[in-house]
Amino acid sequence: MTLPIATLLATIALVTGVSLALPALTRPTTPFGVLVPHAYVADPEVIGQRRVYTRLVLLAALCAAAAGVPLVAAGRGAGFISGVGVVLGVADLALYVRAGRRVRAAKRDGGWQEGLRQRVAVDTTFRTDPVRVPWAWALPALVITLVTAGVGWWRYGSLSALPSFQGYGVDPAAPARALTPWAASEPVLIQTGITLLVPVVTLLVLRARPDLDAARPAGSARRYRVYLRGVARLTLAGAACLNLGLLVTSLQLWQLVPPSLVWRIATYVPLVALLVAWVVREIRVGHAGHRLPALPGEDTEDTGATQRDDDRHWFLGGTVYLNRHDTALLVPARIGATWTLNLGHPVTWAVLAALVLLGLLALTRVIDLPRRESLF
Amino acid sequence: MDVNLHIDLDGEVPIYQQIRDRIVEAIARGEAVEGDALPSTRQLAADFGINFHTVNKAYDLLKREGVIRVNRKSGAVVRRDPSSGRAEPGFVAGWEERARVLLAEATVHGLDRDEVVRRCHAVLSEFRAEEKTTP
Repeated sequence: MTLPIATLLATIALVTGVSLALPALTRPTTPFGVLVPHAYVADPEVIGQRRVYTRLVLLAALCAAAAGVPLVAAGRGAGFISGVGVVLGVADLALYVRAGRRVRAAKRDGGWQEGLRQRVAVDTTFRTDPVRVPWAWALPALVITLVTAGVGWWRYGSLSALPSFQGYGVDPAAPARALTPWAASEPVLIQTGITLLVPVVTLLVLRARPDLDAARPAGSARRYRVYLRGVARLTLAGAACLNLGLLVTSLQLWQLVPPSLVWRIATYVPLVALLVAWVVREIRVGHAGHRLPALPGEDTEDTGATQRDDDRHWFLGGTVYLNRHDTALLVPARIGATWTLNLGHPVTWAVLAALVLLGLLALTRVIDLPRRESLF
Repeated sequence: MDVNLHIDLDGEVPIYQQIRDRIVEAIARGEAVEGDALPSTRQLAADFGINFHTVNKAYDLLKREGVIRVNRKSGAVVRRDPSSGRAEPGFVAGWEERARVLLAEATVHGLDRDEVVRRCHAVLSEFRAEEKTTP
């Protein structure tokens, strides 16, 4: 088996694995991003759609492998492999959305919400005693940045030229670049940005609207608080992982270690460890912490109400939210440890407009954005 | 302060009235006591997914009723709870008017005196005020 074919199969396995894990990354009450009452979480239609989705995802993976392997064997390169990964990811997302539509149709046709008292629950302790940013967990990212800066400062005098910097890793095959303080310190600048930005993002997530269940407000609030603490710690640890990968990149950029395959793999080890940690934790504790052990009485908690049906504001499997009447800017999405901007909020449009403007200025070369050839 | 509020955004009762009612009930249950801070109007509005003017209206009502006080520095704070002493002059008369309507409704719909009293006791037993005033 050649390396390109192995890479293609690994890419297909990775995309398929993530896609198969998606249904486990939602609450039982939001299968495929559709809100259902507790009484219907094990409805035959929901179970059936899970089964159909799994089969179709596996079928898509087989098709991708059957079509891709001969073409890669015939000489298609890395661009083709990336393309297969993207197409397969989009196809799996379409299957996820399809399953959501089927569940939504069953919910509508079966009148699942009829006769139920629909409520919105709020726990004021998230405002009066919010979950704090665990600043101690931000220290590793800061220390790694300082260590990288120190190594760079010590090494700079003995450098003559720099290999091509790809954001995450270097490309020894590309022409060497002239040594300038700016070019040499690029990894440290990115690390600094990560070290500053991630705690801000963590704070925003901690202050976002809590994801509570109106049927079990007390239990869901306690679990969500525990869940948020874990998310905050893992997010800050993620900054350390990213900075560690950049430290390994810096060692190659500053020619302290050779840009070999081993060091290239070492660059991505912290990133893979971070992804694995996220997925394992998310599956273990569940979306919004719904799989965390219940305290006495929490399992029997029932207000007699159900969460208000706001499916009409959610799109793309519960990942995109648009509600002009909702004043919240950042809301928990209905899948995994993700949050999404409310597209009905004016600030979201200001942010998107700024990004589009930045993109247009970069395209027209009015401003010069750093070149991105790899993951970052 | 440990308050769970739940409201019906599509119900017939105005949202500001529901927020006001839930906060009064939370104070009666002892979940919030005198001096406890309430969330800001913008925070509470974002958590409910409603306009902050609606929360403002609920807070204004609670302020007029003497349940909370609002100032620029500390925001909205619980002003009185069951242990804050006797009701202020004028409250009992207004409260009796509203209770009269509720009791009239019960009478019209055929609830007898014993059942009304029993249900009133059941509701009062949820509140800490009842525990404190019962010898």
